[in-house]
Amino acid sequence: MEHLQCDLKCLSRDILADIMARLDGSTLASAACTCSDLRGIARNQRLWKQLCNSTWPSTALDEAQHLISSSTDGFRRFYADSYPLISNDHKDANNYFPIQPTLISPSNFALFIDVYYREKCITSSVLDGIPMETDFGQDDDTTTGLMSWVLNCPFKVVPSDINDEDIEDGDDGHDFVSLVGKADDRCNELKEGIRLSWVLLDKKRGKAGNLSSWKPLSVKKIWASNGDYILHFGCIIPVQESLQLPHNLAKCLIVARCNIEEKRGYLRWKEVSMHIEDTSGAYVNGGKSLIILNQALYCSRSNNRHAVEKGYIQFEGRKQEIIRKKKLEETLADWLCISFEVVILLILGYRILPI
Amino acid sequence: MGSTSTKIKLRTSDQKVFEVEKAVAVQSQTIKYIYENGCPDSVIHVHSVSGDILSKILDYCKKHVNSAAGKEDISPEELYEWDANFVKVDQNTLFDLILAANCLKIESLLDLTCQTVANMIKGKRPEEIRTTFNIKNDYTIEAEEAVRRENKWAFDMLGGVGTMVIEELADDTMSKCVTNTKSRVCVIAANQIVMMRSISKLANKKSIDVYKQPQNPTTPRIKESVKQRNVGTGFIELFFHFKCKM
Repeated sequence: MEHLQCDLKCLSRDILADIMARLDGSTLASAACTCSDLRGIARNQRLWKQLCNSTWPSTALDEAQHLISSSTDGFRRFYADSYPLISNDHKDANNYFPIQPTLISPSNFALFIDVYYREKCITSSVLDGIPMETDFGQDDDTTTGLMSWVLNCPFKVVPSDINDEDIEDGDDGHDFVSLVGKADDRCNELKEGIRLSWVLLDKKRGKAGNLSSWKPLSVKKIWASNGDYILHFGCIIPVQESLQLPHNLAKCLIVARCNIEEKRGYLRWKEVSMHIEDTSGAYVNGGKSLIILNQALYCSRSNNRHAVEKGYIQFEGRKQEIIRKKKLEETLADWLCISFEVVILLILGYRILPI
Repeated sequence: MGSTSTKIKLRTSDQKVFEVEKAVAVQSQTIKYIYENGCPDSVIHVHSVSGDILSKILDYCKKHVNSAAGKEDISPEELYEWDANFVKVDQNTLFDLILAANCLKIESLLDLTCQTVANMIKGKRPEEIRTTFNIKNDYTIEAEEAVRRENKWAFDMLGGVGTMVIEELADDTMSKCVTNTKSRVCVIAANQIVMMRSISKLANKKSIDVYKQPQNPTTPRIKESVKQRNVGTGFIELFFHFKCKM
């Protein structure tokens, strides 16, 4: 057993491993940069596995075991890729756009979804392969036909095990989350308390990324329903020009719909879905969405929450700009038509009157 | 002599002999094993521990035994504070305590001391860790660049002049401003000192972000209130409550 050339040299490797196990991810990574011995200890997959499991409980589920550890250095890379958020950083002008494989299949990916309330994980889900809304049939011809249909349709991912489709009143075995705070301040409580992580993993290349913004970007109450709230999470992804999206930006939006029982403050998830939009607010179709998701894994990351929120606000600003332009164009077109008609009327009027 | 006041003799590496009650000595699993399996009358040799260290360890064991048995009227928070003060020693003593606790198999002490070292490392950049523990950098330039690139993602989370930004104010954890001068403000956040570059920048910033480390269970909770005052450009005192979140 080699000793470090420092005051820590008197400590055995076991003790150092015990100390390292108490560190968080960034400090562990920093310790790895100090000297080669600490790097050796810090590379222990067990440490990173523990960190991943405590950060994203979905990685500890049985279904997740074979998804991550099959790649070497798996957990460490997973943590390093998924911990920082995807940021649309203008300073980093040389965005790396990977060479697209000929066909990106939804089964290349895996999803790890975790929802937290006040730092406690309330629901976790692992999906092997992105579930497209269509069910692929057994027949090959039908499959390719359906596949091309799905790829051209607006793309939406709806993981079924988080959603409560048949909700019965009374005890259906779920542990309801009880919200704190006043009944009239639910929006704020949701914004402060709920956190969502949506990690996408490319199984083949071992790249991962967190498509969520952790904190909700917006929380709205649906007045027409009885205690339903919609929360938005997401990130802005710079895309390459060949996809021909306005401003070369796409927004990956995760929409969570929940119901809060007003009297007792119980929270229940109704639907969690993800889709991709461009700056004009239009949904992006299946084929392009898969390319954008692939690209998201290679985007620059940042731990600076404010920069990420700023990017989102800028995107929304651009969206508003496009909407304003469209309205202006329509107004101008209307005025043009009106003035044209007035001119014609006047001309007709001059022609008819002298007669 | 009654069984409640059985004494065990311990001889250290520097030939000092300590006589302690059995209840205190058997906090160490090693001593307990030797006592139960070896000859209980003669002196137990603890070769790897010096007199000073053993005396400190015995203080620790005594305090914990007495508190558990109810002999001392001490609340859990007070015991916690006592532990926190116990580990406020120089680095060499701390490492000696770790090695002794490991050798004597005193789990709670080992846990306490290892956590203290972990807290000393948390949130530090590699250069700071090297300075604190006098670690020699044995990387070549290329190897260091490669490892830094590999771990680049972590760096904007770590402390350093001008890089810490306070994110939220919440209820549980506290930080306390220690010094405030015209040019710098020091904020202790969860046992870690954060240096901010200049007060003027701080005064003008509307929201101040900080990356917090996940809360560890042995961080002492100091109950104080939250205030933020901006008194001219000279001094700003910042007392924060904030919760450790991702």
